[in-house]
Amino acid sequence: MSIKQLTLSVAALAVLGGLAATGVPAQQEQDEDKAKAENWITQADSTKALVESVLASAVEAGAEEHAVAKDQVNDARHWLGEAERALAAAKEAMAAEDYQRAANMGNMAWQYYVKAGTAAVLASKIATGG
Amino acid sequence: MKPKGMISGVVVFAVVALAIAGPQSCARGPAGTSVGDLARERGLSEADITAALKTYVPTGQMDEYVMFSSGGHSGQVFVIGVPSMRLLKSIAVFTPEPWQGYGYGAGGTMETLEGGLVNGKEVLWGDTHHPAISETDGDYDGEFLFIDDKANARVAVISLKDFETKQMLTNPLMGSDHGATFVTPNTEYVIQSSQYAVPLDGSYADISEYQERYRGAVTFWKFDRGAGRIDPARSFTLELPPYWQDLADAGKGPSMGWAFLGSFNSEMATGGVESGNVPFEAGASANDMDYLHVINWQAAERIYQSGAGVQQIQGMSVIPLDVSIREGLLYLVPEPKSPHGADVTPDGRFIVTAGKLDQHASIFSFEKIQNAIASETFSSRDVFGVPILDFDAVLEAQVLLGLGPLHTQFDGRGHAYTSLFIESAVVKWSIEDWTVKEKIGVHYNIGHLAAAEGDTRSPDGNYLVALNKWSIDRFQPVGPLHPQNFQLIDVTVEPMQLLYDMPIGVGEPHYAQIIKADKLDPWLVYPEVGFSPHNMAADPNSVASGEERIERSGNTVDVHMTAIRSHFNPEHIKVRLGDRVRIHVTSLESARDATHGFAIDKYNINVSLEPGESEVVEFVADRAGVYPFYCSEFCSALHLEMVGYLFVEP
Repeated sequence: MSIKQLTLSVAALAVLGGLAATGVPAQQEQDEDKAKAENWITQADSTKALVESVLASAVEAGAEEHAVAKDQVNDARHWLGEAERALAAAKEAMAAEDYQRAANMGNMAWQYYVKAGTAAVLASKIATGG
Repeated sequence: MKPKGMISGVVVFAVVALAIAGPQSCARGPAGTSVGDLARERGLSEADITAALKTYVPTGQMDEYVMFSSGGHSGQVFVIGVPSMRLLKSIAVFTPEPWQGYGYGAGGTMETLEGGLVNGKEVLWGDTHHPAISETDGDYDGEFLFIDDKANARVAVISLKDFETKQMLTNPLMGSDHGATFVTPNTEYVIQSSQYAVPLDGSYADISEYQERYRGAVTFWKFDRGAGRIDPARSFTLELPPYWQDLADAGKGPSMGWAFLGSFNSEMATGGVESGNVPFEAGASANDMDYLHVINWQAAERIYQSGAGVQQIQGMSVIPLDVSIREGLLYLVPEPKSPHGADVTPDGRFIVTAGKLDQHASIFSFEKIQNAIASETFSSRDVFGVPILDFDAVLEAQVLLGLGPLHTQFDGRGHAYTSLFIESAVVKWSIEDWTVKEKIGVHYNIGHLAAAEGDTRSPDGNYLVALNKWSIDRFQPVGPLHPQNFQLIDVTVEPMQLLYDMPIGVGEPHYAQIIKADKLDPWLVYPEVGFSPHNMAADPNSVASGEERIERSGNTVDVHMTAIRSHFNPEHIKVRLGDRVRIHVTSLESARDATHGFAIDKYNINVSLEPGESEVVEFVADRAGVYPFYCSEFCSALHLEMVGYLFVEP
């Protein structure tokens, strides 16, 4: 994957992440919390797929064999692991109808995926000289 | 020396051709090595050679621009030539700096540092963030420079006559700042807004009282250009909601009289991860929208001057939030999401905001903002009652830029340049048709960026510097603490061309401003012998040649001393243990660069005496013994002989 494609993918990551300027509709507090939780979990799920693809592209570009880029690959994997745990906790809370916790953990998962994505972009840039 | 036209296209072409053609056809350099040989031996590409040609400034020649960069944690300001990226000076501000004799006994510098006391205590470091060159009619005028210390909510004033710090002030209302320093178009005021909310009165309040007791603030420090000082007695502050106000910018042209502050944590998250609470990083970014603060500072000035409803808090004149709401001084505009930059376009018509976690720049129209205020097109009010303007009513455009957009600068050709943190790139886009033109990768994790005069009413563009937070693999390793990386980019060409990497091995710079060098008119020596840099006037206590003497009055000893190549006069100073010693020392030099130092061994004293400078050093002789004093600048052939003795009799 070229840097241009990579950049597009990363941009798509944000698009799918649902970060556009939209407001939360005013509903009952419970419904709002549930909607927020669902939104964060959806964002985290979507972002996860894209970050993993960005990281796979970096690895394909030789980042794991690159003396410097491999550190970024490791960093990305570390954050992916954190994100996985947070996302699992979010889904668990969702199932238990603890929507506030689900929203918070979904949000944290998404934050971790952003960190993983940042590292994956760096890994690719370093490996490819971009 | 613009990137284009610095050297004619023919010359550039010829040099590149030589580099490619090989040794037979190459001109020989002074050491007998051809350009082509050098390029091949060093593995330089054609782009490398053009980059070198665009940045090289031969000895004796000057840069076209000067960049003032925050020195980050160093507490200093860096002065850097552009395009050479040569470090010209590091101006001591919040942190003592011995070479400049700043904070090591020189009376004027000690007085300046005293202005920066925090709760009555010395805080000898600063986290400098945003330098601001003084402006006239929205353009840099090159007379003064302001800089803030985020960590301690301090601001400082630097004269660009001698590039020395003249004043430091601590804002007692704020725990920290971030929207500082920014100036109004004629430097009427220096803007400083808080970052992390605290109780304005400095008292304790539990975090559970966050919404009730914690507040943000923006202070408009009145600048007295004639005095070269901020006048706290004519300054005022607006109380703000406890969102975390971020970067600021002043309106200009049609938006003159208004100021704009980004903010985040409109959630009013209070953290406490250790107790199982949501950490700040998630809690403060949960909402889709935060708030751009729109402030009518000219109307606020009138309220302040009238005194109506103005409160005195910790010695500061504060306009309470309810007064601001009632008088129409403050409005909020929703801005997505965890925003950072708030940058007014050169024509003053638009405000560009960018959310760290949004891929768009959101551009708001000042005219639409005014219409929405006039027609009270509010979507709602926040919990404090501040009107929130309808997002769609004030939005002009949203431009999909990329990941992690932060800050925006402008050129004079209808383009904006925005830093993309997550993508490690700079994106160039049009402020005429709101379309993206191109991107250039930078290395790595860019924060601010600075284009030549790129935040003024008439930007030059030409050069742009990316202030990258990480350098990772760009420089020779120097341990785990890596330098920052300033990358110089030529923005006159398409595609943009990366020219040069400058390692910054001191502090963590944030923002920088780049001014045309010919707008600066610094002194080369002080205007007259016996000049006080602190007071920017002739020093009544300066010492003329022939008037050197030592006078005792009780247990105070006044030493009237001169310094000139290569001696001090007097050379012997005899005092008694416990005496208060005041050394008034004047440099009799008037030759450019003939600087002396005055250092007293083991008394922690070192003064820089630039040509014509007069200083006073005051201390208690609290240790008996013999203490050499000497010139700490290599001033002349007999520099080592420029010495004297302080005798402290038991």
